[in-house]
Amino acid sequence: MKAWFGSWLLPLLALLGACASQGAAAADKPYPARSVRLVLPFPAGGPSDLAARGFARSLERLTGQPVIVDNRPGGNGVIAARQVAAAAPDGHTLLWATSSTQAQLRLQAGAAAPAFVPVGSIGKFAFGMFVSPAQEANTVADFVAQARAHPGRLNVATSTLSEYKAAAQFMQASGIRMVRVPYKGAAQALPDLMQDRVQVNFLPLAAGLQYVRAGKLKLLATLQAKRGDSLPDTPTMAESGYGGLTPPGWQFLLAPPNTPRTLASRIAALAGQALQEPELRGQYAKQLLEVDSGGPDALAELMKNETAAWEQFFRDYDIRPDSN
Amino acid sequence: MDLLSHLTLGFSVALSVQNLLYCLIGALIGTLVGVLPGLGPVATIALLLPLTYGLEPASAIIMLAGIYYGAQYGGSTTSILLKLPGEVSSVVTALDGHEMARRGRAGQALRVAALGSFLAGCSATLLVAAVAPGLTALALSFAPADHAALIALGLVASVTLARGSIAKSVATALMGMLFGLVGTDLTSGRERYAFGVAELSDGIDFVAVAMGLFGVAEIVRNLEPGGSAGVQLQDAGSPATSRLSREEWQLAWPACLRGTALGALLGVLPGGGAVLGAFASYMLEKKIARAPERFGQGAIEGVAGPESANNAGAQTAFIPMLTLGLPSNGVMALMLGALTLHGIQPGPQIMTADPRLFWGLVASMWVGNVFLLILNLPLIALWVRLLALRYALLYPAVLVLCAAGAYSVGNSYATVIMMAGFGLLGYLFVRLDCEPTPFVLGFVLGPMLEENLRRAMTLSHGDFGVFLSQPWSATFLALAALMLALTAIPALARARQVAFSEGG
Repeated sequence: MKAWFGSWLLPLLALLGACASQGAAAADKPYPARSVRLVLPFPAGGPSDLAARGFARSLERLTGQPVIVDNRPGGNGVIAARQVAAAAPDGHTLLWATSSTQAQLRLQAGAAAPAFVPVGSIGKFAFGMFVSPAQEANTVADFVAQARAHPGRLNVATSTLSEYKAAAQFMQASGIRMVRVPYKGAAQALPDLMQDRVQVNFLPLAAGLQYVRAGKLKLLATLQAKRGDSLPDTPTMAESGYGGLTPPGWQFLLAPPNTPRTLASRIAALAGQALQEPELRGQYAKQLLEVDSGGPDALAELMKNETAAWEQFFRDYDIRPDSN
Repeated sequence: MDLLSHLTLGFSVALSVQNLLYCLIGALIGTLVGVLPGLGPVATIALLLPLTYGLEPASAIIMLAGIYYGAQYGGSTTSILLKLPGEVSSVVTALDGHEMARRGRAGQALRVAALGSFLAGCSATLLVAAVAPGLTALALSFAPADHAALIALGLVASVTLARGSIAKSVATALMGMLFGLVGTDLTSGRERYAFGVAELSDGIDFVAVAMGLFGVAEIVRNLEPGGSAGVQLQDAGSPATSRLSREEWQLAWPACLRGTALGALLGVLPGGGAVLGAFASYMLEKKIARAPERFGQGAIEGVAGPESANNAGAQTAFIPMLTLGLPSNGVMALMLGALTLHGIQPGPQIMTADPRLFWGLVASMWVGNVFLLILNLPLIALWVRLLALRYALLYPAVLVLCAAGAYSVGNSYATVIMMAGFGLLGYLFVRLDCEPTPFVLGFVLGPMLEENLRRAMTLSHGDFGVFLSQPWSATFLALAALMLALTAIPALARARQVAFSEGG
């Protein structure tokens, strides 16, 4: 009896011990143990790519492990998302996501979108309301008054879902009607805006600010929460009476589904440290990317609010994916 | 400050030992990248971008620019030797350039391409220096309706001037447009002909189309029992025969000048313009040639003109990027990103804010063109000798390079598979005696036409009059109508004659 008891108890205990020691090993295992792959749903060269590459270099210096930016553009972000969703949940493959790509994913995959684990937020690109220099309006109120005087005559340019959402929320809040003219990117939309072929575009500040300085565009307001240090004289949309516009342009990190929360917190702590680096800060300041680092919980909250705003927008504007 | 002092400043930057070195490195890498099929300047510059972080901004941009126009030079080499165009613009070079190579005149074709590119590069650089602000204004004033009309003119011209049956060219052009529709619709955001495949939702990549239709199909054709191209290529001559005869040179240099002018002007326009430069030059040369039937059979003007247009356009494409901060193609978008990283904001203020960088870059383009000529002329002998390789050794290597290039486009196998598919289609075209060029033009210009047409109509709130009330657009449409009439009337007359003779 005793012998029989020992014959299965001992291996069981040994097994339990092995599990425990392995668990302890996993927690002690240094992160990152090898190179980290940061998958980006954009081609090289754009603002998000530059931001991600700067962040990768900073993280590299901090951890001593290479951080590789892997551009997987296409499919409105679906291709990059699929790559990361299929990766091992060990923190060595991460997704650099933005408000727009997550919205696209939501739109295309709906509830079937992969359940990525939130890691942390990087920050957001500041947006502004740019109008053509031929417009007499110098404030948002002037612009709305003029649009009311000529209903349906003004055009609004949009290049991304985020710009579309900002324009839609503005039209809803002000009750004015404008014709939406879609573009592939700011490079195409800007000539038409400068020449007054379209009258307004909600753009990232970094894309339009230099034309304001050259007198080729007007900036009526920013979509920031408060006046920025670089533009102390430009009012925010909230000050102009349109506080309901959700700021677009968030950049954040996601991990593959089933990544342990403790690991996500560790990565977030490292990312927060990397974001403190002065050189990276300097680059982001030039890019007008406001650093706003937060851990998994803050990001989960942010994503919940974002998702709600996007779904409202999709419902209101009847934007649907292909009905299969 | 006048032009002379600007250029003096520019050359003082470009001729520093350090920048000369970066210019040479850029030109060298660019030539290599251009020669390797499918591997384009976009992928290369994206890869090398992080390496430039430590450099001075002017050195970084000088090297990256060298890669860009070096690739334009190198790209013509594979087009001529192997009928493997890696970019839209070198599709045209493949037409007569490869025919020349098949007739054992690869050396002459490469030489005229190099000299034409050099001539064009130098004069376009002067143009950039002298009239950049004026050309900037032209680019800005070009409205969506003007773009749509220009593209329509390009499509009409491609069909009316193509070799062989008009019905076949119209059919292949329309087929190309249909393939161009694959992807996500810009206005509604819905997918078209993507069948739920994520790799198709951004459309089909040009590299897959061009390498499949031209390169892969050409290999299949050569491997057919009785395929003769390989034999022709083998006696492709010694370096001594790559000299141009006096008659050839007299045909080539005016074509170079015309190509430079067309390419430089169209290169300033975003998107469609750069594509149209080489095609427009080819069509112009064919239209004004004394014996247009030589085109497609290895006419030297058909290489000289488009190659010059290409290179001129490559230089003037910098104008909207630098003076407006508006990139006209993928490479320029990357350059813009590179400059931003270095804390330089290309745009209306660059000439006053960073004169050293602006004029240094302009001067370095001239230096780079000299380097490219020095690099490329001796290489011609080497390339021609490559053709003496047994075809059984050459083609597997070419296929592998093509596949690697296609893979590098989106780091995925999807492009490789698509390339194989277009290879089959290209072989079908060969058997049916259809030209693939109208297909490529339809594929590239069709989506641009749709986009600009819809945008013009949205902007005019549904009024078609916008196409006739604007001077540019009205001129282009009138030209297109004239071309159609000139082609249709003789064809109709002939048809009537046939009908009469049959009836009688």
